[in-house]
Amino acid sequence: MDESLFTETPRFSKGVQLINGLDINRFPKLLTRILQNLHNKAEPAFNEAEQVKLGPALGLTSSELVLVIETLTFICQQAAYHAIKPGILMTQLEAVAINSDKCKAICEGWSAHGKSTIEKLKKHSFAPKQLQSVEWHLNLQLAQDSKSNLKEPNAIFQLNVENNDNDTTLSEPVLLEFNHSQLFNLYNKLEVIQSQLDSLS
Amino acid sequence: MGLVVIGLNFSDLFKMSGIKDHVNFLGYPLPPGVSLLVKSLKKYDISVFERLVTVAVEMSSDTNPTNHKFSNLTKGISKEAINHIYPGVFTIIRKAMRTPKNLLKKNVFENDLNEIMLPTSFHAPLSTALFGDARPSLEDNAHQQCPHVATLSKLRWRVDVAISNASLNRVMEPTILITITTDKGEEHTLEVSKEKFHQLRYSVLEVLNYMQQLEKRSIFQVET
Repeated sequence: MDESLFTETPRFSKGVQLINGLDINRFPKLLTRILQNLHNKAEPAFNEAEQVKLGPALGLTSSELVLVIETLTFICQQAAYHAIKPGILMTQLEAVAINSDKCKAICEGWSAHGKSTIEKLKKHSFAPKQLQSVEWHLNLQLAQDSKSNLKEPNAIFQLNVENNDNDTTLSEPVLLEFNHSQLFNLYNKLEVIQSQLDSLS
Repeated sequence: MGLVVIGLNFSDLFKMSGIKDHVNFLGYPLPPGVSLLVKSLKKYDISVFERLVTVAVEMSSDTNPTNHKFSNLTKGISKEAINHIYPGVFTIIRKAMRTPKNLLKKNVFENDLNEIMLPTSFHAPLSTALFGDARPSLEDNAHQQCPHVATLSKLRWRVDVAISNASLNRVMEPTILITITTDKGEEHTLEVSKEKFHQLRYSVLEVLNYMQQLEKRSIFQVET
């Protein structure tokens, strides 16, 4: 694609200037950290304490540091959004006047961590309730108060559900009981779903 | 003088001792309602008995029996008759339902009723109730009444493919949305990713496999 990935707002240009001024030795680690945290929108790449230490180490004030982190995050987000190859990323970065050594560092970081970042972003979902794990328990029912001499196998499934409402992650287990025929019906339904999934690929 | 040796095995000794190897389905001692029933039955007509047997079957087949329903069903029967007959009839039906069908056959049932001295003319309504058409609904109700964790009554699903989202232009990731409705009325809507779906499917199959293995074992073949 010929159009630029990055619109050159004044803030973006300032960020680029600051990036160009950074020490190249520290740059890859900074970038790796940002890439690894890209999928985690709730938490920033560097927490407060780390930012306080990082500022002086890079020779930046706290607001300049925030700008640098934001600009780099934006570059990575755009790269992920379009899933661009490192070569094209290089061209795009040079077009916005980032120094070639920084461009190279960014492209190397992207080649190394880009794929895994995209995979993590793909899996990310904000559905309110998600299945986390399945646990089960198989019993043999021998009797109950209204019937004696039973020999019925009975399974209890616990579906651990992660609740994403309001960013609280309380696990809400769903308990279900099945006898043989009920479990078989469930299996048939799951098979239909599986055939749908298979027809997609 | 020689010794005469007689070979006796355990079941011979058992039979000789006069102890029966069959236990009445009502148990010993007789439940108080049943003894009252047997004593008072001479005063009543078979039609009253038949009606009360029907009432007992109706109440036992219902998942939510109410007093209101009972009074509706017993309209026109004297309170005295209900007090004398109903508890015994209800207990007989409950106890007979408890034993599985293959262990309490009709003739054994009638022998047991003879044993407690219930007149033969009164056997017919009870036999038809327990060994006739009403049996499946009685069984279903007995099955439902026991304590259990919620069972699945409905599973609705859909498969979605996410084409793009705010972070990525091209996602192409399938996910499954399922709504589980339990027989206790709870509804849960969950999203299941492909990996978790495979885990779920694997667990279900594993348990089914174990159940089948269990059912093949000898404990199931023996009719105790």
